[in-house]
Amino acid sequence: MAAPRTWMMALGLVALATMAANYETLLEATERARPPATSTSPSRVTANKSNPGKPVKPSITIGEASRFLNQASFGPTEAEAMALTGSSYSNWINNQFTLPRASHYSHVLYLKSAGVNIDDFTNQHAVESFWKQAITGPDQLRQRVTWGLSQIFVVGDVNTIRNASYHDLLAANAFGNYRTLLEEVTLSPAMGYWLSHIGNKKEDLATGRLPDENYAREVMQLFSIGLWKLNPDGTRMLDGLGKPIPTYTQEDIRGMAKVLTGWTYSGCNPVTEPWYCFDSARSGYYRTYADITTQMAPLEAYHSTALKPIVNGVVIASGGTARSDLKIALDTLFNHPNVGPFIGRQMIQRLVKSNPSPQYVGRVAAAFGNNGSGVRGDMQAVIRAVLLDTEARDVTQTQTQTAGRLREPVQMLAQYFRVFTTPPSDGRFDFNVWWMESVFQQRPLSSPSVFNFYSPNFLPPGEMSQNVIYGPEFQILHEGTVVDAYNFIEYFVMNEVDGATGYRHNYAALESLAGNPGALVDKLSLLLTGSRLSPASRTIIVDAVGRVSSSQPADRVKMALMLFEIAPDYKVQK
Amino acid sequence: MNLPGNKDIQRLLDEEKSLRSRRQFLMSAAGVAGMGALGSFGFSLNSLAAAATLSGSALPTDYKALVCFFMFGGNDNGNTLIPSDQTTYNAYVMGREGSLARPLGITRLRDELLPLATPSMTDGRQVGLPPEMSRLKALYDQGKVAILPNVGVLAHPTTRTQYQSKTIELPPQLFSHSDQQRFWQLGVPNYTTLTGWAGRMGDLLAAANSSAAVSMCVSLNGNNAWQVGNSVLPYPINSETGAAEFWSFWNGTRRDAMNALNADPRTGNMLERQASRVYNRAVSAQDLMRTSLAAGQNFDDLFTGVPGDIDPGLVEDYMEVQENFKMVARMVDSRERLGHKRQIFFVGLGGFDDHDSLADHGDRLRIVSDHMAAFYAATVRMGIQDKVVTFTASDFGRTLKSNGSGSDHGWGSHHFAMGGSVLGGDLYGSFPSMDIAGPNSVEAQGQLLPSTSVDEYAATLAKWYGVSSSDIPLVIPNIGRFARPDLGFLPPV
Repeated sequence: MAAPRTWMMALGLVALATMAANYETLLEATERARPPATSTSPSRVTANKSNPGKPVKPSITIGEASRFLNQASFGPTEAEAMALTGSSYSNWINNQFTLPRASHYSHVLYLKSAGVNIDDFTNQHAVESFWKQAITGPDQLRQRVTWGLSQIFVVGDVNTIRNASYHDLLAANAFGNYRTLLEEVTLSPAMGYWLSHIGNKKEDLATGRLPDENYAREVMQLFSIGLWKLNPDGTRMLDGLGKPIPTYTQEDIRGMAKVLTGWTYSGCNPVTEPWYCFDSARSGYYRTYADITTQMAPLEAYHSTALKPIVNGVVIASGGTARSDLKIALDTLFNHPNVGPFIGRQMIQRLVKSNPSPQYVGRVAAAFGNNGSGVRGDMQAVIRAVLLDTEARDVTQTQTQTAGRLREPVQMLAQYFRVFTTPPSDGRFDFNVWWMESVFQQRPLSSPSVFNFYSPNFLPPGEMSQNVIYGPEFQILHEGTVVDAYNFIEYFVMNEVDGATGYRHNYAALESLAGNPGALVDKLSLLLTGSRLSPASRTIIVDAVGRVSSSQPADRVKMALMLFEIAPDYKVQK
Repeated sequence: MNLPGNKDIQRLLDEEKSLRSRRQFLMSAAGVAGMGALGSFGFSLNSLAAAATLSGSALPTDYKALVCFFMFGGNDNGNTLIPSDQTTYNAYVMGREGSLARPLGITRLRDELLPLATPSMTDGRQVGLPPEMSRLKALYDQGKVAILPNVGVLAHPTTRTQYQSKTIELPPQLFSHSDQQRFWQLGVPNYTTLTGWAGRMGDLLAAANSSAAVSMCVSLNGNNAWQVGNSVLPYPINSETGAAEFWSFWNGTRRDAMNALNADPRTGNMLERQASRVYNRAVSAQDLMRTSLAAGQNFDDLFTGVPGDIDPGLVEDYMEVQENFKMVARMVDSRERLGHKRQIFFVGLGGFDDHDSLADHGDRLRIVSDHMAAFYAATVRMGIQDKVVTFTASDFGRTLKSNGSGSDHGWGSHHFAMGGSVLGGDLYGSFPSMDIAGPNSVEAQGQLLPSTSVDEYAATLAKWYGVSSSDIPLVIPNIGRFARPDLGFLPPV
């Protein structure tokens, strides 16, 4: 038995190694020989006017522009990619930082004023607003970054009002400072309800009852410092025995839980209606939208004044107020050396790649520590560091074994709608079909737990787990979802579903290329992969498109689109 | 395709050897099997599963299945197995609430408990189940359900003194959901192990199955660490259709191109290879899945819909678990058509993280109880109830002490094992004291110090399932540290 098994194993490996080597060679050759992606793209090297004879930094090809915008947005249209070729990544980012933010909560109130029955029990209309902004918002960097933040500072379905307001909070702080973001997240009534620190009372010495530890634990484990002390490059610090070092103890959790006592609805009166401040707040009942959209307020009588040990040996003295204790606690977390690498690595994973090198994490963490002007926690600096890093920009990096990240379903769907459809004229984005969650195991603003749809440390079973290569999104892309997910997208690609969505296919530009399958596929490769489709995949798709009658240009476009949606070169954003 | 020369094979074998030592594979066959998965072409989950020939476990010829029901979030043990004699009940109320005054906060009423006969409890204490678990209680009374009190992840047998003086190795990151879930599923509390104990059982026994087109490890709850072996991988399926069908396969051009795009291994990128393998596994399993399921029963009459009096917030969960168990029953029913002598199922439900919502905890347990019982009825109908064991697991237990409206993260918790072979109607292990300053508790809020390790629980199941005594350490590497590799709730095999 052993011999044939070994032989098969060897055969598999050789085939793998050979093909991998061929592919690398092929890619390299392609890269070298690649002509400008379109006739209109500017030449790669332009003269430096102030210093003639010395070349300046090459300008951006449209393929590179598209590749960048696949990381920094929900996917570029051709016009957007083209516009970037005449600019620079930094300018694009800086311009995006200045664009105004639209409010999800306002959209929900608008729907309500228009007579839509805003569902208080689910988040359906907040999700509608999410799609509206993700697909049509000009502030694409904010959209994409906020979607990433919503997968770190996770709040699940806590109803339309809470989710809309909470996503506004994340969007408003996406380009701000992490310290402010952390405080606003902590005092958000949506988060208070989700992780049950709203209405959390101080300890009771008579009964021995201690405060709820839910938020105390997760704010450290998931939102700031993580479980293990990290080196500046995100690798685990080790003690003298070579073991990783926990960042906090159970005693620290108890201390942090006491810090987070006494906060509840801003509009409640503990004397006349204590039930509303505590029982109602904890169980989710509310009277006004203001109570679940404005920051929680402290009730000092219910705030623990005990001595509170928290992380890093910090002990908060007894007798503080809810606000003064919170300030010390959040300052301590904010200044913990873990935050930069811990949050930085996850931002890289959300935008660029699942397995960044320690050096890349270290550079992003350094930007978190100091934005160049001595400011810690500047999210703009973090975003710049993530997107402008050589490991994100250098196209040869896409050839490494572990390059890229699996596109998540929301990203794929948003990209399809952004690039290939015309939105409905009535301003509604009501294709928020319920089966999305069971099909994709993902629906915006609706993670089943605070641990997100997937873990940043998920190891896909098989080759990746055996080699400890992370693939967070593979936690929800598996044998049980891959078919339904594909069919779901096919439904939109193949059918114009006016009644449900009001969307129109916008395939005209593609149909005009349909007579030339190679040109059609190259156009899609440009838009969807930043021209990273492998030559082998290109051949397969071109061949299949050519088999569709040339008298049916729309069918050719659909064939090409649907093959991209299953091609590994598209599914993995590189 | 070019065949490798001898030199290549030797080089690869050397590489394999170094990989084996680097990863410190636990199993003698693990390296070979592991590389098998690496080199496989993705058309099956476990085409190379034959490791059993290198071990002491004879390949079984009978049929057996294990079904794990994982209660995600950490089940509140305090309100799951509840003292029912007045004295201990009072200690329970005092432990939870710190007072005997009414209203009782999160404690259950003594009058409504379903008292259990517990022959092994000879100290005068009595325990009961909450009324929502009436169906599982009935099976307990029939001797088909055993209760395992105070089970948890341990690195070594541990006393309260050792815990407090920090003189013994503990599982890392106690009380953290993600870590403790993973350790439960790995069967060993460390970060270097990359396979789960179901997957390792699969590596030993999968060769008993005549077909590997459908993995023996089937998940109704997506990917999980428990079912990952070195050669056997989990096969997550859809609870409604089993395996859905690509609409586009009616179009031959599209189908061929989809397959060609995912021919594996075509690319040098590991993530792309993984995406392609997922696709290929789904495609290669789907025909057998569909024909097998279509030829079997549907068990609709045994899973009779949502009770009218359940908490409205749990209706969806109730239906979901119902669909999942129904699909497990259909997969068991399809065992011969699938070529399966050995099956392992993973079913789960979230929402047990009851920091503030213990009010609906009873109904959540009802979801567990109703569907485990309905599934048992399905196995009886198929006449194989003696060949299927269903058991519960969870991240951890919860604090005995209330935080006001719920409980916080704990450690040891109570679990259930169900099946025709289970020597039920009793507790296996000791029911803990309700004294949060007593020997069974650690920390300040009555987090239970486990008196039975997950290792012992898992080893008992593995032995019944067909893993030889000498191979148990391959599945449960730390079993030698614990006193009871067989807890006795299953008969000798």
